[in-house]
Amino acid sequence: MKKLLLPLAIAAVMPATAFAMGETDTTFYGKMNVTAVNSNFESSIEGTDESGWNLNSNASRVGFKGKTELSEGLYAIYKAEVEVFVDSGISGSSSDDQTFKQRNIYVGLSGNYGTIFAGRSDSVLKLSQAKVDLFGDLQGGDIKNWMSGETRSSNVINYSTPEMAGFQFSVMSILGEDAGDRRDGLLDSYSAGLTFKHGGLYLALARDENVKSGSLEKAFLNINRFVASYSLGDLTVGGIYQQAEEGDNYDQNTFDLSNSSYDEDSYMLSASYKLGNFKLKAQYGEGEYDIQLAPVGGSVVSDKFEREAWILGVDYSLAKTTKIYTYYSNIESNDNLVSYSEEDDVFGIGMEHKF
Amino acid sequence: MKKITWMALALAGSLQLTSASLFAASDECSPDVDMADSLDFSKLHIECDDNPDIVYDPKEGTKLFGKHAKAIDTYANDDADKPSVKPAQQLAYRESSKTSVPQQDLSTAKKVAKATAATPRSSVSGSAGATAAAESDNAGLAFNIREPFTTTGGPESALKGLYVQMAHYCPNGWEKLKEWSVPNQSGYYLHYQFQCAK
Repeated sequence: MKKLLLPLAIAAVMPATAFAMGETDTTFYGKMNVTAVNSNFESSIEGTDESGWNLNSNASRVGFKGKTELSEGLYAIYKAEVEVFVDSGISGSSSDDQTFKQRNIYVGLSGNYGTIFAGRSDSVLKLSQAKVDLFGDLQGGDIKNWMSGETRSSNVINYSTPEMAGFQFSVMSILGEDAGDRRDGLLDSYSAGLTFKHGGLYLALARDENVKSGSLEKAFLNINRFVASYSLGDLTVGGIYQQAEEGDNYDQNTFDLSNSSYDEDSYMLSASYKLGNFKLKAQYGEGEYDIQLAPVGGSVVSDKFEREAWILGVDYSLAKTTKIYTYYSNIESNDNLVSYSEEDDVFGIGMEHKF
Repeated sequence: MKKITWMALALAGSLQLTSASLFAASDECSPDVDMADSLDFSKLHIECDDNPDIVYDPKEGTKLFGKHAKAIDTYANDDADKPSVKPAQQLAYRESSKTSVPQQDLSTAKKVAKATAATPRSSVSGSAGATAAAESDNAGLAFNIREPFTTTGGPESALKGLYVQMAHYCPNGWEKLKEWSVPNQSGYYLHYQFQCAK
């Protein structure tokens, strides 16, 4: 019976007179972001140290989007966005080389009652971070190095309310398409969030329920995330705090017993300051992780590890659409179970052009 | 993790201290690629989407390929002769929207209001140079204008008025995009659609 909700939701954003046919417009957009990085990796295991230069394409993408006015205030909307690889032309994954890698693609309706779409999309929890992560997509800088929940999901149906007094609510159902009795309900796996914007202030509360995380612990997790940022003139400060734990289907991608568990407490703080064409950026993050592994036929093994990251960077704007930048990051990890530690330093210099 | 507590307090404290100017910043349209990474889907698709690359009209086929600026109708009060593009309605929609109005759209709306208010309905009299100075910030905007003519008098009189209007709106030059005629009581209106040089 839950499936009855979908046509009701669609009907909610459609007025009865939605049969007109207007113009369809399309806009192309995208960005190219490439970085030359020098990374140094050291660990407590002798002989594992590595260093070298790489050229990275940092989520460079092309996309197109558009709308058609169906009636007064009601639009059909669509978006299709793919990642391109400026460095090598292909994704570089040995198992799946791709010239274009699908990012967000959807079709839906937008009107006075909100926006509903279906397709493949970043989760509400991921999108709720807005631009608080100042080093997103950069090697050694992105918060996905120490935070779970940076997720893009397939088979999603999303509804977002209009903005009302600065508030907006979004809920995204992630359909499992699983065989058997796992994630077969409309809301067995979902991502939801409430945001508030007013002037330079941005606040968000988001929740992933049994969503397969796209970063760090890539398993089905429940995550609560709080985001805050504030801009005052040329200064912007922000932060994210989140707690994550195993979701109902956590074992599906780890071990085949129900005793496994995962707990994460992580956060990040960021600040940026514009100084003419320069933008000074700093970011700090930390996470603590407690994992209970229950292998088949063995006893439960507990593990705790910590990760700490700090990143400094400078952007220089050549134009509104184009910048060059440099950054330095340091990420340290310590595993208490096996007395293992590692440290990763990354220095990068790159360019980004938006269009 | 105890650091979190004092860091959160520090952040909250700094927000509190600056609350006097808490709502000073504006909510502008960002580049499409940035808005595409946001939960504000209406802003991406509707409120900040007025400059498409391709416009497909099911009646006319694809109208333009390339950056297309929708034209501003300088004679919007006359229902009989409206062109197919209705920027006045689009602006009215944005103004009436409950969501925040993008700053650059408001800026455009002000330009439009200023430009249309300052332009004479028929042939322009007075110094073109003086009006040019007043309208020097219409770069990139497209306009629809018209002038009447009769079959006996010929279109020359209309052309003069149209070129004076174009010089008024676009003191730095223009590109004519389209030309068409519509009958009126005494003859025709000659319509021009043009875009000011950027």
